[in-house]
Amino acid sequence: MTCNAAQEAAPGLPAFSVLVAPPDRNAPTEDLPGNAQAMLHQVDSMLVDLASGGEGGSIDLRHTPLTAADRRTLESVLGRGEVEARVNALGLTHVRDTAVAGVWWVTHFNLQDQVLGEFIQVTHVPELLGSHPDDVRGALPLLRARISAALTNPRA
Amino acid sequence: MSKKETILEHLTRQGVSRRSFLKFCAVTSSMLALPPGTERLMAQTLATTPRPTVIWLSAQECTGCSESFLRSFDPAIESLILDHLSLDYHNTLLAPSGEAAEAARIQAMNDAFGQYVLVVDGAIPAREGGAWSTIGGRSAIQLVQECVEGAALVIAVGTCATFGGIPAANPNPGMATGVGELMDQGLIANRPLINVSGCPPVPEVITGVVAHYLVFGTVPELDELRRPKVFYGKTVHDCCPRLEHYDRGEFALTFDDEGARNGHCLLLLGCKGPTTFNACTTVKWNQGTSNPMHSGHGCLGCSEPGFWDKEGFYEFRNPPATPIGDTAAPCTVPQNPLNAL
Repeated sequence: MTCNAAQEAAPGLPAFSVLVAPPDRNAPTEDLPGNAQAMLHQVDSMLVDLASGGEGGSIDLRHTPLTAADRRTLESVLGRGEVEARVNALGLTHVRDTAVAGVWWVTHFNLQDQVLGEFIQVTHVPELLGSHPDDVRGALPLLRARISAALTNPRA
Repeated sequence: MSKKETILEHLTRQGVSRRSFLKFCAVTSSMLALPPGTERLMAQTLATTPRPTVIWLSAQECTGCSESFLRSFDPAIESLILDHLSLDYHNTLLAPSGEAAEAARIQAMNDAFGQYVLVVDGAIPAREGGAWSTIGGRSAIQLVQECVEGAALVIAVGTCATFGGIPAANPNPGMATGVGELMDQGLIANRPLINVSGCPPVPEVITGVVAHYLVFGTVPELDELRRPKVFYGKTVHDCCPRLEHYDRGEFALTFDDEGARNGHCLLLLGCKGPTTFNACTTVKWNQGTSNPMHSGHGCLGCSEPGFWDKEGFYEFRNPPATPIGDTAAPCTVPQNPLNAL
């Protein structure tokens, strides 16, 4: 993040600005050691597990030091699939599958659209998209109440 | 006592959906640097865990820690922490006063004896039987002694409660000290203790520790000063936005010189970042907006023992010869998911 704050001058004093700039993460990174390759091997291992009836797994991208080049590599290798879902729960969550079946990219945002968490999930369907069995059981009375209300007052 | 409702039941009653709950678990797990997949365990645990009772005692303090805890988020966070934690006693927030307030504390302690979380902010003076700080005619040290007995976990919030802080500054007339020191001296019972130091602590650090206990019912990994490593494992300097200039040997010599304006390192102006372990530059302040070095001021070292007396705020000292933080770990710490609620 770059903080470039122009300060209002106090009476009698000249105006000044402060520039606090960390290293540019989009700068060329060919000479930096990357984690993309290791992460892709991890995805490979999780996919082997999922394909053989296991649970797969997930990788927390916020706790993995990724250069801009790493991220581009991951996105490029995994590609984009057909599904893209937006879940509105405590702010948006973007869920999209990659071109590799069983590999999903999940990004959580808060109400201010700041990224709260980012994961690569290896699973058949991310849990966030499915309906929980307890919720399904609790939905039956709700459905019947809604049907009843609709039949009682069809114009409502 | 009637069966306490679980955290999930409470969330559901508040209109929080299952998906919101799962998201909360995923992001909280990430914030606490727990292994991926823990969010599933977290969701299962919270679905069946009764809301823990919290008793918050204040001694020699300025209420800055409570302010940090309560006022730095959007209002919904207050609902999460206060309602979901069952904060049964906090003498600043409690509507009743006097004997009614003390009766509420005793009732909460009796109902959850051996299971409640005790939060202490402020230093506890020991001189003259603790007469230097009293509430309802009883000394702070008596109250802490009494409340610690039935606590499953004690969280000392703020540098005053952890290391004595400003009340313990020279000449420390009341012999003020922190909770850990009282335990070490045998003046109060020993219980699992987490120190959350800072003047005040970063709000997300306070709630992060509470979230960890909510989920696991255990103490996170601590450093030698009993602070959670996930937040205090790196120095302020390790992730400072001015670090690049330090590495190049570019230092500001006054607060308004050309170097200061260009973001040069503030070490020569007294910055204590290299020897201060805190989350100011990882979690940051004001919902992840900035930290003191962003604003042009050095670190005061407020989360370390001896804060206030150890050295002057603007006194230069030589940096350590070798890095002392966990420089290998990434600097990014996810923002507190509780902000979203």
